[in-house]
Amino acid sequence: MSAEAAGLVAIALMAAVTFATRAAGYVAVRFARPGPAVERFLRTAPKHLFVALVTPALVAGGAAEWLGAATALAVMAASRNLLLSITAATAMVAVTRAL
Amino acid sequence: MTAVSAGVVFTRAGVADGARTALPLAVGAGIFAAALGVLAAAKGLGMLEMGLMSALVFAGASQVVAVELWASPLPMAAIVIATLAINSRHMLMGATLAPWLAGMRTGPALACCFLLVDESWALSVVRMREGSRDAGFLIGAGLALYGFWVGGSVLGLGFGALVPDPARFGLDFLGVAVFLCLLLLLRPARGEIAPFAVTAAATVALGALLPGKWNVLLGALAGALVATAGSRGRRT
Repeated sequence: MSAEAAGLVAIALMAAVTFATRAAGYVAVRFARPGPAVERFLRTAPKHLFVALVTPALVAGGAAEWLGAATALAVMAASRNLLLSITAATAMVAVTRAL
Repeated sequence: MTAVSAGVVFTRAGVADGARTALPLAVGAGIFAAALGVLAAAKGLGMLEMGLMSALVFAGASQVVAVELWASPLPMAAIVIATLAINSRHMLMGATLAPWLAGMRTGPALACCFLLVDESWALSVVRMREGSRDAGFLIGAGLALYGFWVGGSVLGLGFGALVPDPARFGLDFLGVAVFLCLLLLLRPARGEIAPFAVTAAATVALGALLPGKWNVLLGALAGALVATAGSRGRRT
């Protein structure tokens, strides 16, 4: 296989694997007909995904990331405005890193 | 307005709303994509390969790893296994959107699945939980992110010297900031603090043991299972 062909095959396989991960949850729920326990689980799961998504960055991070997280939460709690909150948080991270 | 089923609708206004809401995140993703394009150029990927990868895979972290692994001969198995490890979290994300997706015909539902990335999922699941029945939101948010992602990566590959370092503007923190704010919008209860601690501890511990982002999927599963077992009979 030429290098070009190998590259295209790799991209096709990446695309197939990634689409499978995206469709798997939908297919499972569509055909498994979840009961009340699974529905309770799926209601709480998004919050846990958010926690799992942010934890590695905050554990690996330092003052800039912790101040950014505090800023995001404080501005969001006060304003309920997502755009304002993420702008303030990223600005806080950028400024702290530049200091 | 087209009714689909189970009260789920799919409107042009919903698509526009999703695109508008995701736009700031899409711009941030575009700058990241441009940085990926710069890396790809250094690794010898061409415009065709970069464009196809972004257009067909459309998953940031896994593309960064694939481009970093890019070499001759190509380590194909390593690239595909890393892609699965990093994107495994999508499985749980898709399942949580079930109330929207299960109410749609299969074609549109699979199109929604294709556009599922962290940011489009996050904005959509919160919108759904706020009571919206308009699944067009997910398509709109996904398309905005998609356009900037594909365009940014190709432009970055072509005009590498002009691309700034996203970390200088704190843009690598954009995702964390969004997820924290959206967590707040889902109104976590006092009783959920212990299950959240389970999720956080499991995510960190598994991160040291497993490659990719299996720890995000398995950590969230662990905490959500603890929360579900503890909430038997009451609403979360």
